[in-house]
Amino acid sequence: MASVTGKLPAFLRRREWLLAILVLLTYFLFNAQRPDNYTFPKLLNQTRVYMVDVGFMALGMLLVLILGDIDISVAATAALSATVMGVSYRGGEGLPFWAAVLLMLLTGLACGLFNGLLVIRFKELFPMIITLSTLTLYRGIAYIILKDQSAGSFPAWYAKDLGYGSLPLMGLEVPIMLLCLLAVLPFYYLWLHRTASGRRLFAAGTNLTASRYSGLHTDRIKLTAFAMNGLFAAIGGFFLTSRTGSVKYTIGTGFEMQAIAVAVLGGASTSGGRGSVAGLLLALVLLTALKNGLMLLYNDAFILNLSVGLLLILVVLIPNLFQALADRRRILRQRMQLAK
Amino acid sequence: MQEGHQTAREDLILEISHVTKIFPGVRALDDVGFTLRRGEIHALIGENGAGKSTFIKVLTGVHQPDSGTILLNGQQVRMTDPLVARRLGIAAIYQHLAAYPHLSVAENIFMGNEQLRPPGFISWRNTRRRAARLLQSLGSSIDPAAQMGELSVAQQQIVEIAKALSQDASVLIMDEPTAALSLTESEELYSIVRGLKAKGTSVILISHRFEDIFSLADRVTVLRDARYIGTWDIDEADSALLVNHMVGRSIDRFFPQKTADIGEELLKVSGLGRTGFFQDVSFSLHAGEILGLTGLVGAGRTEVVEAITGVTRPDYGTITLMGQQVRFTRPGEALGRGLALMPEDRQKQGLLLPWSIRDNVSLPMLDSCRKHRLLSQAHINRMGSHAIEQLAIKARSGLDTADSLSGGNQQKVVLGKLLSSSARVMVMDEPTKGVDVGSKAAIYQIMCDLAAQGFGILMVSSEMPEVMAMCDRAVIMRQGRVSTILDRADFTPEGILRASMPLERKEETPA
Repeated sequence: MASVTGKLPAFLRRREWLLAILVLLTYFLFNAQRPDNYTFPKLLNQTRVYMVDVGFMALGMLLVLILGDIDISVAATAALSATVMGVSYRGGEGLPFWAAVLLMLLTGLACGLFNGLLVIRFKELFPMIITLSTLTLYRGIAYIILKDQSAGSFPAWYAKDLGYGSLPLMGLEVPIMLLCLLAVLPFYYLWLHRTASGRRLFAAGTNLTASRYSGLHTDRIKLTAFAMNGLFAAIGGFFLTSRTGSVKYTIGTGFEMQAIAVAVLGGASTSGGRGSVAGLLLALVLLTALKNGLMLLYNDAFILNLSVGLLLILVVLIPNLFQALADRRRILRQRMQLAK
Repeated sequence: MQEGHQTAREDLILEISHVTKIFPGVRALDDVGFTLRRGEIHALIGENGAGKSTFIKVLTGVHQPDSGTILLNGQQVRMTDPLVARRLGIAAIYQHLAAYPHLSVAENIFMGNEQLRPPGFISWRNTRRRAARLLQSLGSSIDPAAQMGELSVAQQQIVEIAKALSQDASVLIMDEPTAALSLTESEELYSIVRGLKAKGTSVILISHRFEDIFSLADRVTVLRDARYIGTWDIDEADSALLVNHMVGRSIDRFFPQKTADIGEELLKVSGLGRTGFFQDVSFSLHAGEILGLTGLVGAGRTEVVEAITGVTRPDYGTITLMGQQVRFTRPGEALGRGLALMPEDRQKQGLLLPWSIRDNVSLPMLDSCRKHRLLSQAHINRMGSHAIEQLAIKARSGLDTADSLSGGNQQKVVLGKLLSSSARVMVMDEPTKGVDVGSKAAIYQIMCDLAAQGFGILMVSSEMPEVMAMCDRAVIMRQGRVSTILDRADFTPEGILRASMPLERKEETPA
């Protein structure tokens, strides 16, 4: 058993610790480079840009990834939901704002539910392909509704206070939308890791057939996960729109990849059965710290994407590499023992 | 004598001695020996699970033996992977053909052995020409350009033989070649195989059909419980002798005494059918009863229990569970109504291998492990420890993962999972498949205890001794139908085997 550990210290094999170390490393590196602009309070302020909307989408994505499935339509779902909200509020002349938001959440739920229905109905199709088609479908509907127009003129508390407001907490200005994300996390954690339905989600992702034979309602589990993912996408769209102040059909393009990156960085496996809330949060923090620092140094969005790619390779591949090396050593040793 | 021995030695193309293959928890081959003469057809028989498949896999390089030697033409060979075996001239034709249905016959024949011309392109002309020549040499008129998937099973077999010949196979292994063939087709296959023999090819023939064996084979070897039992010239053997050697083992020491009283009817199945799988299946199961469901692999047994427990849906017929007519759409529904299924493949269907014992055992009953809406680890722990204690699972604690256990203990975990529910009818599909002898006995004891507690147990089994010793009655299936239902008093190995063997096929109109 000791040989499996290889040269990598045992605690590094837990993704959460690896991420935590990288977070500290990133912070102190950039802080040394830009001691005035790269500080904790400023980083905290930037979370509204890099952390909250993607964070909510990643919470949904994690559920689908735990099942071993994937959903690349979340950004389109967010865009369609935000479009529905913007159009039904109509700058104050349409529905009351709370009704427009409710409609938005329902739209997200419906999009997710539709994805889920297709996935359980057409088991021979990969969820990747199914959600690739609904991606274009949802964004297409958003385009039909809005064309090249944008919808906005939202209430001030939404576009100003939620989007850019902060609350003073322990001497720090904490963005309100970050507080919203942090408030959701404990409930999400309890649901995923401590309830029967969360456990069943992991079971279905570990071995769908055995779960079905164990009496689990696997179709319903999948449907729920996809529907919740749609709902979280709409919530992500809600916070994204509060930041941008208006909705266009192109809003949030590419966010699905960011959401997947966060969840996978946080320890989810695309083959299912694994994932943790703590890892997801740490991955979010790491990406925020990294992107913010790179933006300060280079001010180039291209460098951001490149660095996310490198980080994924670093965190996901290297532990696997160590494991593979350790396994190989163990097999060689067994062979030698057999030869004797 | 020495002289004679020497010639016999040179006469052998294949000599296998003391081959042992161990899988985690099971000895799949135990000190097996086997010889194959040049130009001989040698039948290999044994019950399901006797080790035939493993034996073939060792011969074709799919598995490497843990000990023992294989001599090919007097030279020791080590087949580290299937390519090596193929290069040495050992080819196998499997029961479930591994063909490419969308490709042409010629492409199938030369798959992995493409006819190339410089600088490395495939020469389709050569491919077709050589394919045609090979098929002709087998006396077949199959068009090399035809699509594989459009051929009959018999024709596909012939293509597979042609493929083996294209690779200059000197040893041909045929796994149940006639299982899906009509009488005429079988006769054709016989004459092709005899032709191969005349040209000096050696054939290992695996078959459940005595007709195949007696009309083709020169010698016959019996395997049982992963061991070599004996080899006979075909003139010395008759079906009674072979059946005796296939099933004959001391049964009494191994099986517990069943004492349960038979009670009320729990499950009744009548006229059940699923198109393409089985038809007109009727039987009933009572409290305290162990009912066997047996027959050859492929007779439709697993399909029947899957249709009863909601894995699949039957097309017609009725299922009555404890007096109420039911039809389940998923196993969870059946479990909720007291009908539990222990599936055949514990690794894929029974367990979450990376999960711990306690998490596996508690999975179906998670709702009962809740405290203030959250899962109670203490409760889950208790369920795990209870199962370990009740079923004598060999593990350090309930935290051990399922994949760290032996086959028998894994099976007990599956059982523990089902017992955590409130089932009264237990359907067990091959409960002792791939399980070591000690765990087998333990599982039998558990079954008897369950029966004594009033459970009704439906056991799908391919192992005759198990059926004979454990069951109160046995439903014997063949070719998708119930061929007979026997009471314990009427159990004889010959009777069960005869009822399982496919009927002498009637002449069909050739296609």
